[in-house]
Amino acid sequence: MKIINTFVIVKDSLYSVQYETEMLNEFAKCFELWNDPIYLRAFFEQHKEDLEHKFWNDITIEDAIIKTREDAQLFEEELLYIAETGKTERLETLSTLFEPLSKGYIYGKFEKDKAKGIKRHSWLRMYAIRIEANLFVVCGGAIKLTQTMNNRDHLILELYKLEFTRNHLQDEGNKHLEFVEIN
Amino acid sequence: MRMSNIKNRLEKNSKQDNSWVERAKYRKENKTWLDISFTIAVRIMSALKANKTADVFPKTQKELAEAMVCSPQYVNKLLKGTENLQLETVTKIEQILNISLIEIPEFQSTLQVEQFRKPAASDELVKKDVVFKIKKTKEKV
Repeated sequence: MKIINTFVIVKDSLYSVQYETEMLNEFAKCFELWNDPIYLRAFFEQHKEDLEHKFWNDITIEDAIIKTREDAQLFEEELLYIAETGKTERLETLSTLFEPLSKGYIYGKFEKDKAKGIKRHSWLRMYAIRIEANLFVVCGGAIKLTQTMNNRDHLILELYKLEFTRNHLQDEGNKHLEFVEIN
Repeated sequence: MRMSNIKNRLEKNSKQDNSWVERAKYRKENKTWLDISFTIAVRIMSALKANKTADVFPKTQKELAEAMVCSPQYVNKLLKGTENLQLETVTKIEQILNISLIEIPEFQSTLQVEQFRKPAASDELVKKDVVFKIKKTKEKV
């Protein structure tokens, strides 16, 4: 794995890496995939058993595809607003969009409950490294249907990308960059 | 200190992303018809999957292309949910897959609405208004 570029998504606040094997940076790639019915159909066919978990209320593959795109649209419009308006008070909301990746992902314990207000459950995740309070570098994204990340190949890959990007960014005296996610 | 080194490096070495901003704007500005195109793509794939289970033609993208007399590349584009489809194409797919993709609400004249409507007692004012409209329409005729 090799990072060939970093891109500015939101000035002074949000960056994204691009890996050698990809045509797009990870941030842009997420939205292309989450808007692609062919990709989404294949993904949910492959993870049909996870989708059938009672947590998802018997949702059909067809509805799962529609829901994914709807969630992605809301998410994208929010970020587009921030990207277009630049540094305003709302920009500070970027830091509230990201939250620390819980230890449960790595050690296999249950994910901590998170206050999500009235927002319905979304399985979309964007993973990033937090550099400062309001400065993030996106290194991947996924559809997360399970409680933990360490027993599904596509999520294990995301953990690896987090680790890889952190190593790429940090230097000798800097070993405590935090893993974060948007959901 | 170290953090600002990373920040400086990022600022100095990063390129401005244009691909996402342009695509996001396009998706936002064309949301209404893209929503329909996306849903049609999802329905077509479900129909192909059902055909595959029942072993009925067409059951793959390739077979759908054969049935539509078009290229597999066009079918792939169509299934990406970003194609501004012509009505002719939509109705052709409906016939081939025996599914309904778009529906137009049945036309009802004001007169027909009044004939088949059973107004509630509390609906009196509305009813008078409807009758008035019908009379006006008759006058015009």
